[in-house]
Amino acid sequence: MSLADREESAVREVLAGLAVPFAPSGLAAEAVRRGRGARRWRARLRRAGWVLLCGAVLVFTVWAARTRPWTVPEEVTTPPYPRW
Amino acid sequence: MASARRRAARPRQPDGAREFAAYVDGAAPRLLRTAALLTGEAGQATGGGPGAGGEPTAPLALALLRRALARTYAVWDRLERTDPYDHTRAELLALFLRSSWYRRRRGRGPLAALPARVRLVLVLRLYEGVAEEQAAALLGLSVDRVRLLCARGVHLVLHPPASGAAP
Repeated sequence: MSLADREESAVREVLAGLAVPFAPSGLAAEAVRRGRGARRWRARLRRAGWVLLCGAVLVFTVWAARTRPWTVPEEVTTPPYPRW
Repeated sequence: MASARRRAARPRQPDGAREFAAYVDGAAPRLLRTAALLTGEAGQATGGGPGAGGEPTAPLALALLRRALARTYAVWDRLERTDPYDHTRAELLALFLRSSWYRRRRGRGPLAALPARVRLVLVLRLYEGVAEEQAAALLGLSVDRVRLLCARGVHLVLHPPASGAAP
C-alpha cells in the first residue's frame, strides 16, 4: 500500500471511530408525519396540472369546432365579374 | 362512493410507511454518523469539546437527518425501485450545502476546525466511499478539486495544526 493509501485508511478509521449518539426511536414516525403533508401537496399539484391540461384541450376543441380555422373564409365582397 | 375510494386508498399508504420505517430503522445509525461528520459534531461530548467524558451529542446532525428523512418520505413512492440510502445521503448534502444555518453553527468535534468543503469531501470520499466523479457531481466541484480537497483533508486530520495556526 502506498503512503497515500495508508494515510487514507488511517483517516477512514478516525472517521468511523468518532463517537456519535444513538439514533432516537421516533425518527421514522416523525419523518412520515412531516413528509405526508408534502406528499399530499405534490399529489394535489399533479392533479391540478392534469385538470388544467384537460381543460385546455377541451377549450381548444370547442373553439376549433366553432371557428373551424382550417376552412377558407367566405368571400365578403362580390368576386370580380369576368370580362366578357 | 367516497368511502370506497378511501378504503381503496388506505392500503397503499400504510405499506409505504411500513417499508419506510423499516428502512429508517436499518439506515438511521449510519446516516446519523454521516450527518454528524458533516456538521463537525462527530466525537463531540456533552461536557463541551471532544473527549470531555460526556455522552456523545449531535443536535445539528439530528435536525439535519430529520429534515432529510422527511424529504425522503415525501418522494418515497418515486424511490421504490432505487436504493433510498443514496437519496437520503444526497438530501443530507443538499440541505447542509444550501442552508447556511448548519454551517454557521459548527459542531465542537475534532473535525469542526476543518473548512466545510474539506470536511464534506473527506466524509464523502473516505467514510461513504463515494467515487471521485460522483462526489464531484454531488458537491458541484471539479474532480481535480475534489482530489485536492481530499488530500488536504487527509493531511489536516493526520497532522493537525497547533492551536492558533490557521489550517
